[in-house]
Amino acid sequence: MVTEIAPITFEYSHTIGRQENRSGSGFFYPIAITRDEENQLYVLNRGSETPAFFPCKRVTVFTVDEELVREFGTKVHPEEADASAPDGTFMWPTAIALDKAGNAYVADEWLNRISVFDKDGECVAKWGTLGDGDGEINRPSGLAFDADDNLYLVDSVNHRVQVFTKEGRFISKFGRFGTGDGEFDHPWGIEIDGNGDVYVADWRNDRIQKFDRDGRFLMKFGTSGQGDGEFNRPTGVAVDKDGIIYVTDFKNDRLQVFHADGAFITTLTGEATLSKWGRERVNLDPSMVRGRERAQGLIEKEKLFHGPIAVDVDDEGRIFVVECSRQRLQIFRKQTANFSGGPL
Amino acid sequence: MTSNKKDPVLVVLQMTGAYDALNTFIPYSDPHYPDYRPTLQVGPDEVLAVDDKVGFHPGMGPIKEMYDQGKVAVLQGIGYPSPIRSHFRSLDIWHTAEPEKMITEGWLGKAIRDIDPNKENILTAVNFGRGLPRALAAPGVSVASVGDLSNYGVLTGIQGDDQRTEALDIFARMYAPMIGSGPVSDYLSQTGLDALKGADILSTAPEMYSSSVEYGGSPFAQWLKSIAQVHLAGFGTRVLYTGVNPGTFDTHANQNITLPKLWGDVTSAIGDFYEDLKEHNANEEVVMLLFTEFGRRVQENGSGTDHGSGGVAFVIGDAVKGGLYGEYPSLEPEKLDSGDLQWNNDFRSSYATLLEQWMGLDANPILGATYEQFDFIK
Amino acid sequence: MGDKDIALMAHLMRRAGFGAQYEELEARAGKGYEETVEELLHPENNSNRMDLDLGERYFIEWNHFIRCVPEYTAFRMINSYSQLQEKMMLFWHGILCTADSKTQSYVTSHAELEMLRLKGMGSFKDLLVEISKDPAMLYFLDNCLSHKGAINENYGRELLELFSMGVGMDGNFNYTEDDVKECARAFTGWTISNGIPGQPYGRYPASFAYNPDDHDDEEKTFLGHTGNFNGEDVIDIICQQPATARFISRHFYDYFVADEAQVPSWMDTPPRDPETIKMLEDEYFRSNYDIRSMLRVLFNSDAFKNARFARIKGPIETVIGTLRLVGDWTTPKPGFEAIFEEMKHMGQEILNPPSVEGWHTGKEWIDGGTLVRRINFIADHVGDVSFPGIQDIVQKLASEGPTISPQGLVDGCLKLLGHYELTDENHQSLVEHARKSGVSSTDAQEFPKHVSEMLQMIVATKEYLYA
Repeated sequence: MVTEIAPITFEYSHTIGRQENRSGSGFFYPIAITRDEENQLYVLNRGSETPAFFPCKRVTVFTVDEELVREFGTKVHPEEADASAPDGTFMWPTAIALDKAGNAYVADEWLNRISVFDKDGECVAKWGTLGDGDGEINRPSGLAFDADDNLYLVDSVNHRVQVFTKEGRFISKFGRFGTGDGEFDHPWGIEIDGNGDVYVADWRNDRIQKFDRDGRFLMKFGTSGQGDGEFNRPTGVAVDKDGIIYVTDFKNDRLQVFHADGAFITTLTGEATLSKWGRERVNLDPSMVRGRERAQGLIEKEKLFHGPIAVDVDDEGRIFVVECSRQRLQIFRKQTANFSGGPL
Repeated sequence: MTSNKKDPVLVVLQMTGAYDALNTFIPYSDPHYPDYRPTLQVGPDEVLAVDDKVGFHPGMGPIKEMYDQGKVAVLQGIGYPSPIRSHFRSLDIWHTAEPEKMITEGWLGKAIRDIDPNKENILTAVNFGRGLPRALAAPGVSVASVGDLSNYGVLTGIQGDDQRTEALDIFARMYAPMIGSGPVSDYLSQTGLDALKGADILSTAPEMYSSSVEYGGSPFAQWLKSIAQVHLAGFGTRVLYTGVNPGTFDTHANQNITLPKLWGDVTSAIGDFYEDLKEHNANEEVVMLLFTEFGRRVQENGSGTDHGSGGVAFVIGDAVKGGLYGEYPSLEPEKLDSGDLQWNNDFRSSYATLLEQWMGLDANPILGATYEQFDFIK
Repeated sequence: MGDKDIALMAHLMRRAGFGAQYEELEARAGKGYEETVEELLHPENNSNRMDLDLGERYFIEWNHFIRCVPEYTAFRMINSYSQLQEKMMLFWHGILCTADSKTQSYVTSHAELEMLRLKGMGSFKDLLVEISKDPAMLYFLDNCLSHKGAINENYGRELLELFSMGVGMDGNFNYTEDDVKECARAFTGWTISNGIPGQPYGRYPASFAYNPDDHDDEEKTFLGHTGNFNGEDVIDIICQQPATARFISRHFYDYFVADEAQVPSWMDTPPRDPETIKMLEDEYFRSNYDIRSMLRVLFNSDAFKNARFARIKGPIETVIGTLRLVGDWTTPKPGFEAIFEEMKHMGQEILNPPSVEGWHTGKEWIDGGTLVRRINFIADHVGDVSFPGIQDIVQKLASEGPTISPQGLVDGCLKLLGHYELTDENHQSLVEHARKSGVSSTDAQEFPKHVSEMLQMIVATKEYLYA
């Protein structure tokens, strides 16, 4: 008897974003994403190293229907990018996570600072000390809250994960530099699933590692390369309610999807179309409209991922993929088995 | 040092980033204006009207005041053939007065060469800012480029007054020309010694200066203060140049918040500068040119404006016959140039006017052609 | 291995690269001069040893090179182990140049610079074919506007005048206006695809397209040859010309050996060193236009080895060389744009040459503003004893003994900067200066400051303007 399991497939939904160097309805080198309980999306913009752009480094809050809700945070000038940087400013922002109360925690890997913003976008707290001791951090690159509102922080240059209370008090840590199980090389993104298990994008080891809530190694998958299940610098990881794992395979410009056990399912390379904000912008300028009409290979080229860097999923089976080099996110929907009944 | 305070002096103020002409000098009663600017429009009650059609942005009070005194010429519809929307290339065109091809000599560089052909005064032109704008560049023309007048010169990083004095002393000896070392070495010697001498002279300007005017804290305001100091010191400087940092006026977003503040800062500084000169009875010999590289798109993008063409510039001073020059470009949709204001006033006409009627120079060889001139100089 | 070998290696690395710290000079001298030349000539055998991974992680704008390409290019010149590859990229960028002020597409410019890195030491003929297909160039010099029956001469002219032959040589014109037109006709149909506009998601690289329908396939007569020439045929004829050999050789000489007259005067001004030019011309033909072979002959020649301090350093050489000397910017950190701005304000902005002629060189780099800027930039860097490269210099001088004489200090600093040489008068002035300061004990607390001040005085000299 042959059993065919319905394959997991994905349908492209839509694209959100456009390039907005300073602020407004768009992004500038978006690097991280999260959602709040009302399913509003928070995108953290890494922005530019070019001092002229202001505020450029910011958090943009918007709906899945591409309505801008608000933005908060701003950049600090490189010359002032030290411990004295004003509250609410960023130099090299990397990660964002929301606590149960809806406060946004933003990590900055240059300032080695976690900034906390309330729902109005006011910076209400900050913490973080450079170092390699317990509770000290060196280039934080990933943030995730567990069910108890404890913050798991990827401490990238110390090649470990540290767990803090949301006030920044050290609780525990795991990991060290290396290539063995439970060891890391400049880890980046982090995700905690419904069981409290922890997934880390072990960036320079080109693999994903999974741990239990106490940091005990559970499994790993992936190796360097371009084939199925291989990675070239994985940056972000997300797990949906069915345990399916999504990984942004940054330098391979693709998203890979895996079963809960790490078995490869499929690869997405991008389906982007013109977003609502993008259409609004293009329509302002007749030369852009004409240019797009005449452009050769536009549809094929524009759909591809460029620098997919972060991924998030919601309980409705939607997958949000952030592309740092294209100032947008692409949204996909996971398809369930198709019964195909009904009238003809 | 010869100094004749009545020699005409040109102060050029470069508003880098491309200010939005439409919201700088505003056609507030044009029925199309609110259509193009649903969120960015400046209402008739806010505009600093100069007549029933046009007026200044509300942040430009100090310039409006000078306009009312007949000291401001508004150069409407200013631009150049085949407008380009690149900040860099467009600035180049303004700097070299050559829209057709890329060249290296600046229009003011050539003017400086004509003012001081024998290089008798190493401070004929002084720039304040980071790096020398191409407008001032020409082979054989030496222009002092000053970032900070209070700390200008070579080897400013050497600490301790005695150490620095000694270092400069050795520097002067080491740059002394040596017989038989060749023309290149002589040139390097001369350049080094000029730089040293220029810095020496310039460093005395702040000491000689006292004024009741208090400038704002922005770099632009401080540079205008430095310009006042250099002018008042009587070094015989004829061309002074400064501006705002690249990108400053590049209001793609949040224009409603940024533009009032930018114009407020810039025009207060200009007002302070004028008051400062007046206090020292040195206002009559100074004319200012305020310009930007291009205009912005007529249709806003919802929060700001993108790169366009067709601009507005201003010439300010006692010697100026105030009023409107050039035509305000039509806002009729079919008269726009692919969504941009259609320029009608070649910027080189204004250059020619300033060079001939104000500086007393022959404009043709500097600009490479003859351009119709305005009569905005008294 | 003596001081002489290291001094020669310092010279080679200043010219074939952007300078090197003393330890690298010692190591390379230990390996041997000719061996080092070979290694530099073959970047493909070596990793450039750059950690682009971390570069792209921290400077995220480097991902896909859509923005911040000048900054990346500068970072690479500082950190690439394959120094000659970067130096040749800059060489060709200054000759076969395009300017971002017109092209406004860093992602396309980046592809061009990568091509120059890859092809910059191969066959000159291949390089000319590549640059003629380069999308940034096709747009920059309007070849995409040149059509069958309606030519735009811009590219055809500059290919002859600025990229290969030059207007004239030995007082005679190298080509006629008709040759320019015929050349332009041969390149009709060499164009670019309709590009994707920058709105709303940012720029895409432009791409080359050949449109046979728009190519003028009729007979042409170019430099005395007649045929139904296409672009490659024209390049083939160009490469056979003695004028091309002369033109390229003079550029090599100006860039690697000693300041030459500026390009516009080459028709009437003979080469400064005709023998060396002849040697390079011969190698050009012998090797079938192989750039690597010409460079090999050049670097191993006495003319090159004896030409120490015969060139005024360009701004990029000055800034990159200083940063390599002090050991700054070996890893990404905020504020890199300031470095790029520094070169620009000294008069050389990557990807923005002042005109299609590229940058004028030699004494034209120096005016009142750029001189002050240059001296202060270097002096501020060598005066900062927190830089690892300066600490190394202090350490090395201290390790020579418990005390150091004024002359020992001056000579030691000169040596560790790369065996610089001063005129007797200036040398004497600095020795006097060192004597006055009075500190001679190398373990004194003041010693590092003493050394850094001497370095500051040396880098302010006229001699240090040269490389």
